[in-house]
Amino acid sequence: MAAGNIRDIKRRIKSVTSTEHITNAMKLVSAGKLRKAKAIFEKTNENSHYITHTISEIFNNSKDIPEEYLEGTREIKKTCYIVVTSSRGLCGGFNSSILKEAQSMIDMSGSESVILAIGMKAKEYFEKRGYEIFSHYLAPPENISFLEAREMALPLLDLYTKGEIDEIQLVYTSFISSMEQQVRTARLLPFDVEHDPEVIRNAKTVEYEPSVEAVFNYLVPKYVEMMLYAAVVESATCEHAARRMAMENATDSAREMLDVLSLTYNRARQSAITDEIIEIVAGSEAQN
Amino acid sequence: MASSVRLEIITPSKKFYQGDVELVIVRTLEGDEGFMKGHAWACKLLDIGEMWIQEKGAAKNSYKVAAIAGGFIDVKDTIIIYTDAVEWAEDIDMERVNAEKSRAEEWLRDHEADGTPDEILRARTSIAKAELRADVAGGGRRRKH
Repeated sequence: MAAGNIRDIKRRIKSVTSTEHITNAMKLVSAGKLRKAKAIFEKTNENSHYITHTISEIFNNSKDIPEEYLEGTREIKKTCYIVVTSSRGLCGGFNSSILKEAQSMIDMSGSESVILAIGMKAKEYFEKRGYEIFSHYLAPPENISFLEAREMALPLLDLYTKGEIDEIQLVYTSFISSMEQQVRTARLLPFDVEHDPEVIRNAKTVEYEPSVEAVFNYLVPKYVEMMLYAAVVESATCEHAARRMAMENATDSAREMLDVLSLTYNRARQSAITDEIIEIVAGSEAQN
Repeated sequence: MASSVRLEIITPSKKFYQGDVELVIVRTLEGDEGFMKGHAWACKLLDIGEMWIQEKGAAKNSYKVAAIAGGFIDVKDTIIIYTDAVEWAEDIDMERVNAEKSRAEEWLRDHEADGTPDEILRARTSIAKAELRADVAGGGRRRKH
């Protein structure tokens, strides 16, 4: 043990220090982006329930709803899964837990599946496994506009009304707190009215114009667009939260490692000095 | 003095307006319609059109004007308007409106024959929206009495 060993440790320390700098910077960046994404998410979240509310109200109050959107009116042969992931890595288990959930859903259902991939990771994952990818959206999700969400949703609805797909499932991450995110799935279509827990009966009759059907046919696509938009916004928030956590952990472990390394380094240095002193002392004693 | 009703205007990304109003006029698919407190419950689809709001306590005939890009209005004890896009008259950027309009018109000229019905409809819609916004920015088609 000697100079070589010390040099090795020194090199390690240098590399770990620069890693720590990077992860720490990424943590700060993510924290900033998280704050921004959270603000958007909160605004969207506040509003999206109006649409759902109105839809369930119509459901529960009128009889002449177009049946194609209801559960049980057709056999589910082909399901479209909208999988919302991120386009960038280094965010801990964020992407893998979504993909795992989506995969297990696909495995469980007996129907054919197509994928609408949002984020690079979902696209890569399903492409590699040979799934049919209907379309994909790869830009960073925090910049998505409602218009873009709409452009993604419209062809889906088209396929649904044509009967080429029979079910639309949404897999995304829901934001519980900065520390905790959870993978959620939601079925966008067909609606499942009977099991709707919030049945609201109106006391008065409501005028629909031009007709119940027209209002309904307007609301359903809006609902899908809205849900898709909300899910992407929410997932973007989660992505930043997850990345912030991951980077914080990485920074912490880097610091821990630096502590251990500098201890070993000092020990090695000390013992090299001791060795030298012993040699000198032994040499001078031999002369006497 | 008329009594007021709570009005909320919602877009996908934000709450555009919230407040007590005496009267709100919007264009439904069947034509312009005004809503005041105590209106029968209704749920109506909106066309691309102007929206006029008379706020609580505002002088008679003083309206806030905005352009709405279609949506729906839900009238209960409170009125909720949901729309994809809405802009106050004073916020409309005429340069952008003109640019969008001329782009759509140009497209329509070149593709009138070969565009799909959907594309043509979309171009027509954006021209209609641009015209509406130009009107609204100029104080509204409706004359203030």
